[in-house]
Amino acid sequence: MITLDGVSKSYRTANGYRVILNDVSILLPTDRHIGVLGRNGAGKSTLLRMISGEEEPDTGKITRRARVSWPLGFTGGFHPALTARENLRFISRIYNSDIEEVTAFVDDFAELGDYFDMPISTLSSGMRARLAFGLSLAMRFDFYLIDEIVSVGDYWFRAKAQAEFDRIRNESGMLLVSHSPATIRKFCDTGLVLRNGRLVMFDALEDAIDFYLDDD
Amino acid sequence: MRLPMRPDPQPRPLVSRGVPVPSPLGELLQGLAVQRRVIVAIVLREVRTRFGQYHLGYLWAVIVPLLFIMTLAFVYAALGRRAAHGASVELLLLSGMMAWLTFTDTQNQASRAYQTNRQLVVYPMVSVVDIVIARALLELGTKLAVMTILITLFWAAGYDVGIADPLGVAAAMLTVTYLGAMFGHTIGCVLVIAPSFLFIVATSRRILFFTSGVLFLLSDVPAEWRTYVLYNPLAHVIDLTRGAWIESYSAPYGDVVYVAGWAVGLTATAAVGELVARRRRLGANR
Repeated sequence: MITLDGVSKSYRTANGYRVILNDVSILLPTDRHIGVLGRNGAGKSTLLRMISGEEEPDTGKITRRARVSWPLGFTGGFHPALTARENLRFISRIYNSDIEEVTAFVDDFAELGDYFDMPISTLSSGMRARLAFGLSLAMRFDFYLIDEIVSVGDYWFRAKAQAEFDRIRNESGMLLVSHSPATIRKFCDTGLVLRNGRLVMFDALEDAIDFYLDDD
Repeated sequence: MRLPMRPDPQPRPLVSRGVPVPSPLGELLQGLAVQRRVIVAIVLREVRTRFGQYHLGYLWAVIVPLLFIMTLAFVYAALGRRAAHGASVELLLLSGMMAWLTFTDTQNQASRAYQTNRQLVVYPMVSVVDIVIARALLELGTKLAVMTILITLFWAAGYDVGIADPLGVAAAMLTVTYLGAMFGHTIGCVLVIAPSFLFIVATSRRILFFTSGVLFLLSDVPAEWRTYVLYNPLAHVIDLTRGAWIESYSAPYGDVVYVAGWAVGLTATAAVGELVARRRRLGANR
């Protein structure tokens, strides 16, 4: 369960303040597949970063009572001078996960070969993406945060990634932000719409999509 | 069709869905357990990134103070300067230098805790304060190890460098670590808010060093100058370090209460700095 209690967030821009959330209070069940619809620039990614704990709201409080992932596909959480293996050890430690298990899974999944023992700074962006994706799978989070569905790696990796993605969809909750109703329809069972600083929850997914498309 | 805008659901008490809600005490203990785990993980990671793949890294930690002490001892000998209070010049330099280096290296590590670990903000359980604590602990541990090695080296070379009051020296080392961490964290927060203040780091370090008494005993300083030197809390700690280390030296100028005042004051500035800098840091790397 994730609680947003009176959460506000805005950014200062050249033309004044852009409001992302305006005093939003909402409960997000972490055993559901929640789709957040919002137009480009509505603040979907900021919302995701706040839920993950990477960014703090201006006012209000966000409480997480579950193992919540970092935004999936985010590759910036590695120390560039340490090897992939050393980074995995560190992240396993802070999340209280089994180091050997995580290392074995990611080594097998990400297929970095010799690069598994090379500093992160020497890895290609594709390798980093595979590493980050494999790691977030190995962590077995209760709730996965996903910023659009992007495919990483070559075709073979995509097939494997697809299979693993289906597995976590069965085992964990997720929150997926997208501007595409088709994506939300495919992966989610609950809909939220982010618009004008408000986050509106709908019990029926199609209602959320209708509301989202009705914006003019 | 336009759907009516409905009000956001209000947060309800968290009792549903089988998630146990911990008591405030349980929550605190759980939080402390997480913090301990995070600090241990950061210490282990820092050992890798700082001393790195090059084992010479460890060696440098010993070589730098050793070279400094040997060079100055040589200069003092050439100037005909004698030891005081029954202690050798080497011992005065060693005791002063270890306290000074522990302070300044901890301060340096603490003030760069955020800059060099920006990627950690993505993990919600890691705070910059954890990084500062981990770095201070690692610095203290390193310096105690270096101190032991240097004492052994000087002892093997025939110098009398034994510590009269090991607990007193340990307390002094803990104090300089704490002062360094709090001062460093304050600087780190100021730099987040106003990066142009970087010059104060180098300037303050020079002033603090030359007035700290690493290079002299406070009794050698003319009384009218000593008043100013004694504004520097490090001058007090270094005097106290020597008082504990050297049997025949009684640390006439070291004032524990004055040092404690600085510790409290720097804790306050670090806490205020953290509150102000926290918001600036989060999300700043996008």
